[in-house]
Amino acid sequence: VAQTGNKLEDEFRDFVAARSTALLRTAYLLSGDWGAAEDLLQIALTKTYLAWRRLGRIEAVEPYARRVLVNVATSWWRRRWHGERPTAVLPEQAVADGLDARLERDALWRRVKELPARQRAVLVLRFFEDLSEVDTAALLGVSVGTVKSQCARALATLRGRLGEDGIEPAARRGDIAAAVRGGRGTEMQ
Amino acid sequence: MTMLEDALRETFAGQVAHVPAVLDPAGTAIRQARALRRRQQAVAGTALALAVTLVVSGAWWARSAAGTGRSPEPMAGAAAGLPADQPGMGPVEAAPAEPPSSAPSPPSGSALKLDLFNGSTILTADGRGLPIADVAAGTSVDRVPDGWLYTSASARTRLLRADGRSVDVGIDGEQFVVSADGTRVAWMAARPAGQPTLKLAELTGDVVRDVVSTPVPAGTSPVALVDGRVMVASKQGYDYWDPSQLIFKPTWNSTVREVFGQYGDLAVATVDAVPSGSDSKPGGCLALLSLAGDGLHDTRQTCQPIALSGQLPNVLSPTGRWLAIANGRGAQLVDLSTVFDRTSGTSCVFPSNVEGMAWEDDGHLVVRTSSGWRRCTTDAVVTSVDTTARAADSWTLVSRSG
Repeated sequence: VAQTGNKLEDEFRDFVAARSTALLRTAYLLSGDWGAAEDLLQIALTKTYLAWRRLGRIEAVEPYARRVLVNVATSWWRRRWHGERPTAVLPEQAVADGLDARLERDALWRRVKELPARQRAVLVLRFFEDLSEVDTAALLGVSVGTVKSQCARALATLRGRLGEDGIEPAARRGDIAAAVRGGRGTEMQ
Repeated sequence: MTMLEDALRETFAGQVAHVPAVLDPAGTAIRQARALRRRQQAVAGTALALAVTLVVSGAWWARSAAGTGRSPEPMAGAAAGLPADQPGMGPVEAAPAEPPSSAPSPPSGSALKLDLFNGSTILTADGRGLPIADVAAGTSVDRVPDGWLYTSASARTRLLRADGRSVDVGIDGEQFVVSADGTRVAWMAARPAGQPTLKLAELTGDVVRDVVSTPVPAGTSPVALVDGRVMVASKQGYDYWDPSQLIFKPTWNSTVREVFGQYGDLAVATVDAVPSGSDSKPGGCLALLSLAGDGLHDTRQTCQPIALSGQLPNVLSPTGRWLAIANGRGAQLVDLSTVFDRTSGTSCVFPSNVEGMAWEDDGHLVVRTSSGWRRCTTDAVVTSVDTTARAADSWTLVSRSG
């Protein structure tokens, strides 16, 4: 029994060594805060370790950990305090021409963090994890239509808010029709 | 593919280009998982015990009804306390099962003055529920003057403020101990990796100040704060660190078995019985230890038959005068102001096994039993405790510092 336990623990440590950095990146994009990301990662890893024997195949482990990460992040966000967050660096102010790519990315990131947790999770899974709509839907436990509508709604919100910031990136020339089409999807719970 | 989607890809990639190092996430997860399993097993055991109790009670009820031809008395929920001057304060024996109808109902008590914790929410004594979103599995919670200290899932110690907001107070570690007045905290720092570091600081509001630290041998952990010094334990035994000495120089005392906290400027502990002592007991002896320049030394010791190894951690009252020891259905209250001179102390007996206990103040111990909450006074009077309907069996008592 002890040998089985040690083997299990060794396998788990190998998995964490190989994948924890990638999971931490996703956790940060979901939470927008490195401290919260570390908390998310630890919760996901603890639950994964508890489920390790049941998961059986190593190929099943990472999707499970990622699913825990996303689900905790989205349910967590609803309960967390949403007030002022300390930041080590003051947000950069836009300069006169407003076209610098770095400033656009900063503004975009600020606006992404303002999105509802589910919408942000969809964006992270689609555009950071590069998951397909089908895989994103499977991971979130929702329909493909819901993924499409949430994604379109998030993109439309971002376009609108970037416009309010006075930023006119090429992004605003995006496919508005996609947002209209996506709006017919099923709402997420 | 829109330009906004491309911008998102670039933004996401740029945000996570530099990832901070996380110290031993696998080890932390394994520890937390084990603690969670232990907790779940304890809850499952409690549920099983409760089920057995219900079955036995039901069988007794059926027998009683059949034998007498009338309905039995409703089951009373408490037992009487023992007299305060009970001679020979020995281990509390499990009282034989009595017909429930013969047990007197406990005097009704006042509301619980302690907070409760169920692993994710603190139920305050005034009835508020405060969720902790990022709590580590199996963590303990300590009430301090400005909130509750707990370990977060990222192995840092955080403060949940009274307004429900969780803040990072600057404690970069998960093994923490709090002084009896709640104003000082000691912990093992998570960094630097490979160099175990013990830290001590003042806890003022929601931030720690005047942090001092020392390197310590691997395997060292803080166990209590006594008179401004940090009691530490390792496989070599117990010792203390005096922050005025800057660097910890170990003088481990291997005869010390366990340290419970502070009484006056001394540490309350159990120590190995003296081998030649006629009154030595296998369970060890109760002792008060002085923290002198060259280590820990007994100043007072008693080996009278106190069952010091209960099934739960022994708990000291806020001033350190009383030590509560749980054994089966009883709790011994040892008076440290007199126990080294004569046999003294009291005991309370409850209707079922003790599953948790904490002091409300120096005169009142609250006990969670498998059949409900009870309050035991230092005069050995047992009363019931009014708790809210939400305080189910899975809630644990939160000890208070300060």
